[in-house]
Amino acid sequence: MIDIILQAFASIVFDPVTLGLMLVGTLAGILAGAIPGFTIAMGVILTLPFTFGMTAIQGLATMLGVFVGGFSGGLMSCMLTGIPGTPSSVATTFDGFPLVRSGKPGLALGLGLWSSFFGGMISAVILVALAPQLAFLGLEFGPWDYFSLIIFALTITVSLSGGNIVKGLIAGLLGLFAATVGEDEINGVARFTFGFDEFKQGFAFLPVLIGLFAFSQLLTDVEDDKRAKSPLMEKSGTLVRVEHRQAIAIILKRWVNLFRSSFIGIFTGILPAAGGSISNILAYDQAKKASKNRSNFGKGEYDGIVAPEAANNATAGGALIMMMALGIPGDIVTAVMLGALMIHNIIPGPTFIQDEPLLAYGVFIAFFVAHFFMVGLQAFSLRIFLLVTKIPMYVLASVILAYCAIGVFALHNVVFDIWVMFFFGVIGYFMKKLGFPLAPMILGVVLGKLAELNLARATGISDDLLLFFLRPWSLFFLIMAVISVIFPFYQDAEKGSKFSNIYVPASVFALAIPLFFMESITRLIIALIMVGISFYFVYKSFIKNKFLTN
Amino acid sequence: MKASYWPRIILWLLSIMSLVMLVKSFANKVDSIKAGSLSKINYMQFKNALICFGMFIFFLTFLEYLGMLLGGILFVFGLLTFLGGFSIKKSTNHLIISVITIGVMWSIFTFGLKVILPEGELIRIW
Repeated sequence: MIDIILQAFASIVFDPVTLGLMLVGTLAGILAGAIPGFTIAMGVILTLPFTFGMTAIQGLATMLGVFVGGFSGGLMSCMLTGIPGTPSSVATTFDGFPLVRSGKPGLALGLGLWSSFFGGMISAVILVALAPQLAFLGLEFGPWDYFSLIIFALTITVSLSGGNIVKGLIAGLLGLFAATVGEDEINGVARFTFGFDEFKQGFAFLPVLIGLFAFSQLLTDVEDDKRAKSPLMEKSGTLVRVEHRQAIAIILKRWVNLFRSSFIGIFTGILPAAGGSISNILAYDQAKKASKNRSNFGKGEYDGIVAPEAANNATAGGALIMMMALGIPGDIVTAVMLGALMIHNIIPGPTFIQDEPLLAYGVFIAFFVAHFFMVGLQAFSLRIFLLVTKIPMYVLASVILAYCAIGVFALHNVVFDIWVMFFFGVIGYFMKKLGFPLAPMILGVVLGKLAELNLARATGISDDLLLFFLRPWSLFFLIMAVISVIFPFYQDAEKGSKFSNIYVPASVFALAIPLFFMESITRLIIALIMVGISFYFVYKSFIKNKFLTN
Repeated sequence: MKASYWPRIILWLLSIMSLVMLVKSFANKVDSIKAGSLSKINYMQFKNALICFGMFIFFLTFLEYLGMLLGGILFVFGLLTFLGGFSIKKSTNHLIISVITIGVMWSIFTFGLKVILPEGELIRIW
């Protein structure tokens, strides 16, 4: 294994082309993350067409550069202007901007930058350690389990993408439906082609994804005439010298917060659809609850910068774990990376790390290296950022719309793909207007074929549909799916109500049931602990209620 | 498994969800009133999006004839003019932006990535 890691290391670090591409990718990511209205996912999507001519590892390394750079780019705009560049850096604004205004911009940037770095490093270590183990676990999965896992991935995306759960489910189902167009992979029968030859191949998921996400976002960005014509940022900030040493010393003194926030980020990243936008707020909230100086939060508290920045970069590692280990994208960015791998005829799944060890470990190494680039490029990118923010949105949007068309054409060299992108761009725009979340639809398109294939395999092996409920892993994921569908109701429920008291213990107890049926002592012990925890929760709420009624 | 099996499951679920949404919208009177009053919708908010749709359809329809380079430049220039406004100074800037950005991208894809982009009948004849 060490020789593979060394080989992967050499393929990244000793290859000037790969390093150069990563450098450009990280810079592009920092800028994409820093510009409000642009997201990291948009940056990665726009990078994709350039990777077609690269080797798989070069393409992935470039995208990882954008991914990692994007998280740290967000902190630049939120610190200097008070406007978060990406949703992943919203919580950083709470304390970052006040610290800048109190006359410490260099320290504020340093804290954000190095917290991102350390958070990313922690998540990289967990990625290397956990992904192969999770992949090993994935080898136990049969088609029933895989199908249920996909159902869970879709339902949790629906419940975490916010808004109306019915609309989320409709969006997810529309995504699954879009994936059925064309010849089905099992029988080769053409479906919903309406006599058009172009439809036989189905919709390639990258044009659909670019249309739904990037195209519709650009249309939204130019919607308001006044906003479209004004510069990207009215206040673009000034050049600042980053206080590296002081920032590192402060962060290391707050190592508990750093590790807690990083683990929150990793866990959030592993959950499909729960990206940096959630993890940074969760970590900030936990840091505030755990701090002795709660009253200082919102006034430039150091912990309030360390927590969200460590968490959002750690999220990237978490999202990669699911993609690398099980072939299930954790978010839009990893869905694009999945697409990039498929272009090179590599299908991620439980056997991916075993089958393509050099590429898999190359991804791990690239993730590490990207963090060093991110730190190194900050000062330079700050200068470019100040220039880019003067461009009006309509100019950027017009150019990028054309670029999307060129990029999508380059995928298969067919104009039909551009029409597909346009069609789904229009759908995405109006769905957004009508309050439908797009993330479930995108995941539905990405996972639709995989879901059907596994359902066909499962029903091909046995007609007994009860197997979906009798196989422990499948049951586990289906229970997770039910829990995730109910989750929004739990969020809305009044604190202290019967439902909110019972939701957590009932969920933990239900999840323990399938673990009892897995033939492993460790899992049995975990199941017993889970049952113990659920009873403890019930007991605690019972005591609390009794106390309140007395 | 029949080819119709999976799409049918999806369509059944879609129908059920749509029905749930319909029932919910009837139950929620405030929402239904808001959704029903089409006259209150500000259609002007879609103006720029509709311009983008129109320009994109134009670009795609004439792509075969104009090619990616010329078509792309015209598309970006047209969009910039529609969205940014028209004056001699602005139009000059828009023309420079569209020629440079599309020219650079076209060169990267054609010479750097060796992607054969649509040349266009017009350029071929010329």
